[in-house]
Amino acid sequence: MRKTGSTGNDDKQRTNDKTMLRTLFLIFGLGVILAYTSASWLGWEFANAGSNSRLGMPFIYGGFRGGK
Amino acid sequence: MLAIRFMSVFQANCPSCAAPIEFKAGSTIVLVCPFCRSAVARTDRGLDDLGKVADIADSESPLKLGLKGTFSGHRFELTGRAQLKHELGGFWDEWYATFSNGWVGWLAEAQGKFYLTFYQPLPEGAQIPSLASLQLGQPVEAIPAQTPLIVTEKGIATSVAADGEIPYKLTPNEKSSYADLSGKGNAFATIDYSMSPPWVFVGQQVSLEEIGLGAAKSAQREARRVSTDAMGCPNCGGALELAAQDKTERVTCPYCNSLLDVNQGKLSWLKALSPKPDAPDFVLPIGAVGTFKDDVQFKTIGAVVRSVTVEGTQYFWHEYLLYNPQIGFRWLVHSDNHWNFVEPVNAADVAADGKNVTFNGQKFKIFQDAPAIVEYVKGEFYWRVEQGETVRAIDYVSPPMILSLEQTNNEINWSFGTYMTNAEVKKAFAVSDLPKPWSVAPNQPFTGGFYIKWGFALLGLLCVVAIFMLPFSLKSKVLNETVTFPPAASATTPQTIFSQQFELKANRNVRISANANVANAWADLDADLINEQSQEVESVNIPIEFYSGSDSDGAWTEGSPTTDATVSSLPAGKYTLRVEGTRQTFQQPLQVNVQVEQNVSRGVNFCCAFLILAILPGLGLFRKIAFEKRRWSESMFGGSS
Repeated sequence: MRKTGSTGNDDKQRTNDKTMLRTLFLIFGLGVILAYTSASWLGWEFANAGSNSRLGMPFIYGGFRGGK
Repeated sequence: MLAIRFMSVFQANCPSCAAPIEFKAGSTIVLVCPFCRSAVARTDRGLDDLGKVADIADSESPLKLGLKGTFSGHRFELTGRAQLKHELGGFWDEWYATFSNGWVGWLAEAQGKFYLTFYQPLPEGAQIPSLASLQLGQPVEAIPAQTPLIVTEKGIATSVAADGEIPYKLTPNEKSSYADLSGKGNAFATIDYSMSPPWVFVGQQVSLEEIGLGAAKSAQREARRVSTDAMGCPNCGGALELAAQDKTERVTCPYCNSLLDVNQGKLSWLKALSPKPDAPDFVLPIGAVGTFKDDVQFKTIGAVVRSVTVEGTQYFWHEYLLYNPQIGFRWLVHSDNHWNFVEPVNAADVAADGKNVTFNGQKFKIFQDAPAIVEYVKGEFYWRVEQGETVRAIDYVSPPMILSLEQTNNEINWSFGTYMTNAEVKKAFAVSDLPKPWSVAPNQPFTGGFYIKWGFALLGLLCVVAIFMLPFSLKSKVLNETVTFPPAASATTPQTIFSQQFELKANRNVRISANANVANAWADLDADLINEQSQEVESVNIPIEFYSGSDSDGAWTEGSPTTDATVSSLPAGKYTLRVEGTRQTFQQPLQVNVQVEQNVSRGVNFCCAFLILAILPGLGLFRKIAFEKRRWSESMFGGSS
């Protein structure tokens, strides 16, 4: 065991990292809810069919694509 | 409280040395002659010499005869002192408090705590159980008190010394049995079995400040601390300095590895310590000072290696005895490199709840119940510690807290531990490189709770938002038309039909569905939404297949005559639907019903958002279950109790 003059720098860093991760998690979660609310309000469809794609995978309508 | 008045104040001569003595308090039965230290009892017939009493051992008590205090608005004076010896060693003081209104109180002082009690007459018919029938941890209903008083200790006390005036017939070296009880709110009681029937003294734990003696404490202690001298080991002569000299009963010599007894400030050799068992070394040195909660400093004055044996496996852990002169003793427990700060609690505050217990409104689950053995000791201790000393130790957990019961035949002790992280211990002792913990400690808190709690909160919020959005998603049908494809040249020859014009609103999704009367055949439709103004096109493919038949398992179907496709919102305006189709049954005309709807609730967005938000709390929950499984795999009770 080593006696240290000023302890806890690593621990402080770890605590800061933990706090940052938690904050990021909350921001991400609220972002998902905001995206869902926006999609519901604006009529955006997730995993829809549409456009020229026959896979039905373009997620959010971003304007007309092509024409015939 | 009972006011005991016996006889009036009077002066006489000591029957032993003839020196003048004075019984100042009317309730005094025995007076210790200040000249020859004879215990002189006054009786109806005169004065009796009860024999010599020993000098009071220097206990570094902050109290002294003649000190005046106040309790419940009544003034009192300390007029007598008896020093008693515990059967397991150790002394405690009982101060006789004479009140100005005639009350007689006893102020007991043990291990830095003070208990003020008064004689309590029992109600008529109430009977105190015999000492043998008293059960540790059980209440004694016969004692009238505001809170149930439970038995915490049974023992035998020996009167070894006295000073001043004593209100009972103190006979030097006389042994008497007693039981201590405690109740909620610092209630305290003692049953004195030297009387028949037993006498009961009821009161409470007090601080010196509460009884107007706070000023005496610091000055007295400070003066004594300065005069504390170092002592020498009687075996090897090594210098030993005791941190809690007035309370230490045992000390080990770090030079010759001897266990020494401390008796009234004198050291005597007891035995050589047995070698340390095959357990990890102590990681904190004796003498290390740690700063804990509320910036309170404790000094490590002793360390113990203890063990339990469960299913043939011996498990070791370390306990460090911490000392602060103003606060008393605490423990720092180091097990599997996990740490707990442990403090004593009142046994009456712990309530049994089946196999489990409740403390401070918190339920603690039983975790372990096994004999704990002292394997090795180092430093100084306030009790007569012995290698091999065994107690029944029961642990109850409610992470991050742990409640421990240590029980012998005569005594129960409850203690309350709080989990400390390595980082907290490092910070407390200003050290680094503490070994990393392994496994899961009985009361180690799960650290991923934040993600579970807030993850589920976010999921809840998502559901609330979804419910809130429901009124805004009322479905509306903007086209419902049936078109007919005439017979074609081949199955791959496309045919095109245009619908009537219809209007789409902005910010609403669009679902195109088609129903074709196909039977055991397919039709492939490409639907194009054409904006009449901009001529831009949004295309979707709508394949229709429907097959049916029957086999040995019964009737079956596959596919559906109705298929749909949904697209995101389109700019508002007038649209036409162009349907281009090919089909298997090209020789025959095909009727197709096409519908265009807006604001269709599909739940895909919600499900995707839900799944994304559920990942972290789901993983957290999984981790927590695994964590708890690991925790309880170390328990004798498996967490099912």
